[in-house]
Amino acid sequence: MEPRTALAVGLGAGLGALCLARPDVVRRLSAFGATTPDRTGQYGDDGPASTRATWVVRALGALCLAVAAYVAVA
Amino acid sequence: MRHPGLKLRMAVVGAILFAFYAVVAAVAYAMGVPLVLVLLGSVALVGVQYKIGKWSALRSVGAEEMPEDGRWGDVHRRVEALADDMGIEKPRLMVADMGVPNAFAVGRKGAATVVVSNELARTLNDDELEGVLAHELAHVKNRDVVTMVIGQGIASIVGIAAQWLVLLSGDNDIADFFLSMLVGTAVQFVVMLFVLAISRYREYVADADAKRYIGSGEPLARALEKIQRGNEAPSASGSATRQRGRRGRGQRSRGGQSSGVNEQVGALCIFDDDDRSLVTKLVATHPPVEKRIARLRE
Repeated sequence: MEPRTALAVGLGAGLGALCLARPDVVRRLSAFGATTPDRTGQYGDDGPASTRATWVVRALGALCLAVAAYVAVA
Repeated sequence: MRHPGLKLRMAVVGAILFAFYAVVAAVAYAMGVPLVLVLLGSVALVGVQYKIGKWSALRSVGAEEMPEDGRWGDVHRRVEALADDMGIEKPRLMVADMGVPNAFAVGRKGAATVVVSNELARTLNDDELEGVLAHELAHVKNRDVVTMVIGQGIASIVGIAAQWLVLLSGDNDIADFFLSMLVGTAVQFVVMLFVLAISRYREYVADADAKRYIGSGEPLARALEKIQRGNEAPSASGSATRQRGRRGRGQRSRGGQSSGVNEQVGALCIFDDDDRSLVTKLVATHPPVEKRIARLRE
């Protein structure tokens, strides 16, 4: 396997696993759509991710793992 | 100079952020992209993020104009007095049903909006609410919203640049497309860690400014404690308990309304910051509530 392909598989597996295990972390680290984090949750606290956002991140994580697996076997 | 330690830390993190951006601008310039175009593109991206962020924040909570009568009339007057003390224009005030006690500021100095949840107004007494509002006005005064948008803009720009660098240096097969997206995302995540660190520092600065302009950190400290506990008895809500000019510290309204904070929210209120994992601490936008309360009472 070429180094770039191996890197893609490794990073893809890592990011996919992170999305599935800690969608809250992925959401907070996303620059887009996070300009006002204070609007969620209670005052003084980091707001919990909405259920929909959590499942969107998890779905992207699953997609990421699937593409990583495809790149690995292709 | 106020908050020298915090400002030094913010300066260091800000310099790192600028360095990320400078590297991207230098690479783009080396690849033949005019520097003016790089700057204009950056400003446009940040501008779009700012506009969309403000619009979506207000829309997502269903914010409505804050009435001028009853209890809210007193809130208007207190905010006007605080804004006057801070030397900023009175922000637009809005209310929303957020399901939890919350308040946040959006927009820039001169065109800011502060949203207060009905649950927060029911939970806090007059002085505590003023402490929270002073904290939000300090965010406006310190241009924290704009700073965060710029930080997030830099994260986006650096991520996009990393993505294109990988894409242009590859063979354009599916592995390269995938790798470029992953590298762009990973780089953006790393830059966002610095942006979130700045966010935590700025919370402390806003607390210190609120303490300064209110004359005491106690009201905000009590508000944070009360929200953390979640089931604290609320204040009287009638405007009769509030009078213009009665901004004396330590005068608290009392009452027996139910807080409106349901069990689910109550459960959310109970957390121990010491138990937060390193990852959770690194991606937190706010410092631990206990530390904030301790600093407010110093």
